[in-house]
Amino acid sequence: MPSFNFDIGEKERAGSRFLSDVRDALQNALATEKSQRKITQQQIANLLGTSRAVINRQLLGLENIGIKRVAEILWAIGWEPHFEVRPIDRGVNELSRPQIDKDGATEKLASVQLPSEKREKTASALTEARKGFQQGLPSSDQPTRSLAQDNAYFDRDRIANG
Amino acid sequence: MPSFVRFLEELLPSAQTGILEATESPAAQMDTLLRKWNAGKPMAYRRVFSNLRPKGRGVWEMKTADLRIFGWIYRPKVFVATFAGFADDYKSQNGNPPKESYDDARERVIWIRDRLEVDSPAFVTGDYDALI
Repeated sequence: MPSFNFDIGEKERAGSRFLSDVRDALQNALATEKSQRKITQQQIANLLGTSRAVINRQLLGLENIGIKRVAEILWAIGWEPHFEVRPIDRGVNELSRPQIDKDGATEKLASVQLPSEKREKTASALTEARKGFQQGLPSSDQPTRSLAQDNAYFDRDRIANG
Repeated sequence: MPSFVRFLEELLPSAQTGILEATESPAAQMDTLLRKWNAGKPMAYRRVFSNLRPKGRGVWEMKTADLRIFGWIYRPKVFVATFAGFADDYKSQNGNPPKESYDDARERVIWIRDRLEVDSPAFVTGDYDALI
């Protein structure tokens, strides 16, 4: 049985998760303001000299939103950004900072191996979980067919059984 | 569920954003969505998480700009992702009817749910904040 593997890569993940966090923070701030006073995306757009559609698309992730625009939207609703950065814990990220000893020598990155070990353990745990779950599955949903076959089976069975 | 896993492995990696032209790839959208769910972050009702009508059937969808994930709430905070598809396939385009229908999606989730020997109740209903 193939193991479950879904990984978009650390670079992509770092970027998209940060964007998501920023948008969530913006939306939460906007929701808080909306609950306390009547404020609309149109009003924000007017203050920023743009259209409501642009603001809406930026908040929903349908249009790129720059750091400047983040601050501008927050300004328009009476908020301000609070931004901080920090180093990633060693062993968590493939590019986590190497430790430098007193002589300036770089410690070998044993931590580089850790993510793959973690991934193997995770994949193994997921495989076991799936085995257990699939024991309760009808043969019609066992993962032996392609998506197209699966869809065809569903349609056929549904017609047969009304 | 296996159908959902197959979607993640076979279709999602090469998928491109659809008519909404989202800034993030569908795979990145999925990663972000699953992270939010697993972290217990708020999932905006309707925009991110919505129940299909009739609501009493207990079928839900998770949504991103390009993705639809169908399943049910087995227990509060436990979503069984049954299968997934692309949002564009559920929308009318250029006057043409959608390729996929929400009715079929709902029935497919129920079809699979009914065939799983899970402890009763097979799904739960209730207040959104308690369930999600």
